[in-house]
Amino acid sequence: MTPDPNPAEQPEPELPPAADVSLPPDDLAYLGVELREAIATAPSIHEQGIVIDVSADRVLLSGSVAAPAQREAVGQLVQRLVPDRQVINHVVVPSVTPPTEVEEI
Amino acid sequence: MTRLAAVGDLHVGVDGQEHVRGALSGVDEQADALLLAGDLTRCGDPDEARALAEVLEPLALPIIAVLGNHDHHAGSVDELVRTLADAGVRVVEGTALTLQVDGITVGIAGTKGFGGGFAGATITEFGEPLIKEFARCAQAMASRLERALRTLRGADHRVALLHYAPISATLQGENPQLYPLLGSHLLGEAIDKAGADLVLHGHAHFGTEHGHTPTGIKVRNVAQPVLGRAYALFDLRSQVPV
Repeated sequence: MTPDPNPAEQPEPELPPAADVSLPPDDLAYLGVELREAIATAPSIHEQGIVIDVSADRVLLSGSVAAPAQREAVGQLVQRLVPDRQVINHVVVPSVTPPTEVEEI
Repeated sequence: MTRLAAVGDLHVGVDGQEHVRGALSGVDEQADALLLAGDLTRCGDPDEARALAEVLEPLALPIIAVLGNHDHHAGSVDELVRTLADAGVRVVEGTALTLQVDGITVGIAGTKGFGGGFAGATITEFGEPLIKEFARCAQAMASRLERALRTLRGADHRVALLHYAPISATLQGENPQLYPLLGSHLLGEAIDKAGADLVLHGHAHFGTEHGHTPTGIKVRNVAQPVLGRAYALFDLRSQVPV
């Protein structure tokens, strides 16, 4: 997994019971589906908005989650499920800066 | 003038309370009311609801919310709604309420809504029982929204608050294969029939902020990942001559 400059100490996410993703490398499309299912159903994550790009030697994650701890949990979960691949975690947490504009209706 | 703040898809988990507290800090100094467009929690767990309630309760403004699909996952909707109600949050589902702000009446009608798709790719009430049930659910929610909006005809402003999208334009950026799971044209049709000044929804994290219904009613996707900011602000201008 790509090192995070400020890794937060988080408990390892609980894996969903059906997260058996031991698929052969040729089944990349199915692996992506399995990972998406695992991210959506993992109790500590429950996120459907992650884009998963799977190749033979890496998994690239993008999209957004609601909190920094959730971002770390997504990366840790995927790395545990595909330990033989590099996991690149580009998932972001949306900015929470106050709005600077007001729309007139 | 009435100023509304709106955001959807906070997805509050027990590990995300401080993040959302920071996001909503000061919103009660910026707006007259806060509207939450569903997916308040990560999976509808009662602990998540309590974490969110602790953030919302101190805010000194009316808070109106609809639930989202995530809020239903744990099967604890009644407890979630009670927890939020105890914190002063009014959850609307197929119902409407009004706010009085400086003599102006703002009506808010809300529903979570449901999927079903848009012109050219819609789920219809045909075939297996599960498909028919899906279609009927979308129809029922749209019908309730239309009725709720019609009860607000005396209000100075009417806002429709949804989680699922009522038009496809604010889904631009999402995988089109997902559209039937992200919204329904029936919601947009209901809004156009009953009338509204503004429509707010969430759910589509990769979607587009701005759109409008076929009759020109403004639709805003206020999912926080789309906004790229803590919340959106809207000024409802008085239509009463002064």
